[in-house]
Amino acid sequence: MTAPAFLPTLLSVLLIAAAGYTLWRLLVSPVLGLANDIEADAPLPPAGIATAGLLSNWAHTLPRAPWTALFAAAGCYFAARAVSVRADPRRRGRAAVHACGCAILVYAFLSGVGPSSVHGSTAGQYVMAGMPGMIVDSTIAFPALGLACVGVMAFYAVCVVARLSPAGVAAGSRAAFAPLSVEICRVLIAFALVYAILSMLV
Amino acid sequence: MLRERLQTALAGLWLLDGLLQLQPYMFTENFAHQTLSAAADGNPAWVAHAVTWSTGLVAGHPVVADTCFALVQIALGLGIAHPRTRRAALGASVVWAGGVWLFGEGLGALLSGQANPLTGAPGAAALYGLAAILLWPGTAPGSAPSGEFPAAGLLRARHARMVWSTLWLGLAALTLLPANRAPGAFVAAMTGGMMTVGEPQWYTALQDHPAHLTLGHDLAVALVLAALLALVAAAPWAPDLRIARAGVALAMIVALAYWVCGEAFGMPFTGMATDPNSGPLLALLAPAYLPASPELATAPATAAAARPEGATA
Repeated sequence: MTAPAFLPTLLSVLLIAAAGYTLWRLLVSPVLGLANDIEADAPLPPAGIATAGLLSNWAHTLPRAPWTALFAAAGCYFAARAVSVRADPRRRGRAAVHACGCAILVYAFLSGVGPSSVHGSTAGQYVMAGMPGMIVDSTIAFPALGLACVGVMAFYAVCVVARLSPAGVAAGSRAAFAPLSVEICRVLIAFALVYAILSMLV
Repeated sequence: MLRERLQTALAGLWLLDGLLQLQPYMFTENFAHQTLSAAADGNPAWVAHAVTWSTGLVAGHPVVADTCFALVQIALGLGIAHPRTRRAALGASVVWAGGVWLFGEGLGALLSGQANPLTGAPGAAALYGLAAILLWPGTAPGSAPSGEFPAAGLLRARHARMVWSTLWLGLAALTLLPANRAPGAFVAAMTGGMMTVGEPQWYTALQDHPAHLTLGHDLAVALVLAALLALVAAAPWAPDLRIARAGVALAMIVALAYWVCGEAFGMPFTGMATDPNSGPLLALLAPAYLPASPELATAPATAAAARPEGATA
């Protein structure tokens, strides 16, 4: 039995839908006079499209280099913002989280995370080597940094869910534009990135 | 506040477990034959039978079974994280963890005589269930409103302390099992079998060094470790808050040492890990017994008494 192909396809479709929705939300909110956090939400459409390309060949758009440069620049911007707004712990925290998210995307592009053409899994397939007591591991070992990214994204997702409430994400004095939906998109992108990194290993 | 943070951390661990179930290996028959079936080894017939039955079920339908496992655990993680669904998800997690403990972990090998806390006994699933009960939202009837420590929620403080002491004395007893104090037992537990397969070199070296320090001193190391675990077990009963806090700190250090040196972070490097093992859960439970300082415990009550009637915080 092989690893299911439906999973990356499903996630890619959801990611593209999320990217489209967050882009539409950014464009429409000024027209409707509703508030949103442009700075925090602007990276979501490219992140959704880029992550979809990491999961499925059919969703591939730009080469890796432009995506890497884009998210590296965004990560630097958010890191600088985290320093500049250090007097406001809430904004500083959010900027730092976005910087981490961009860094993980950069990692995913630099470390070769991509759609797998291998069916099944070679994990746990050990063969005996020539010398007694020795084994050769045919599994590709997980990089420790990738595992750290998986842990960070999992805990980030639960932190987002823990603060999911309309009051918790309202922006400014104007009514926020569907604030819960954008948080759900963040969780989806985090899930998809984790899946993309975990799928590196077959 | 601390209890909510610990609940969120527990949710994160459940979510991580669910995400690990999405690794390609988990969708293959090998997950049943290599990972699940191993839990039957050395167990009494009725436990082995339960494990063998679940192994057969998963091996027959690996994709469906693993998709269900992943979805349930992801749902538990998200459910525990969200305040509105927290109670229901914690309750469901107790049931799920109980099932995984029996059918997937063979009761953590507790009945086999081979269970070793250094390699994860009594099993992560048992600790997930325990954590859900200890971190249950609310306060037990008759308890202090502020709660003496976060674990004194569903259970009263005395019962919660008894659970802690039973857990850590149990770990101490397991450490002294003949199999775990025999010559070479620590090296075998820390670096034997497939423990170091797939690990980065730097981490294997990190495990090798302390493991080889125990060579020839297994009994002494086991005795010292058991004594430390007994101290942790007794700490919450100490009348002095500083001693209780020191016990919590010691518990976290021991949990971290188990996780790094014995459990190899749950062996995630080869894409076959189902959870990060028991170390993070032991470390998660420890702060749940962190006693509040008397000033902090009485502050809400004092503030409430000073507030004019009808005023809200």
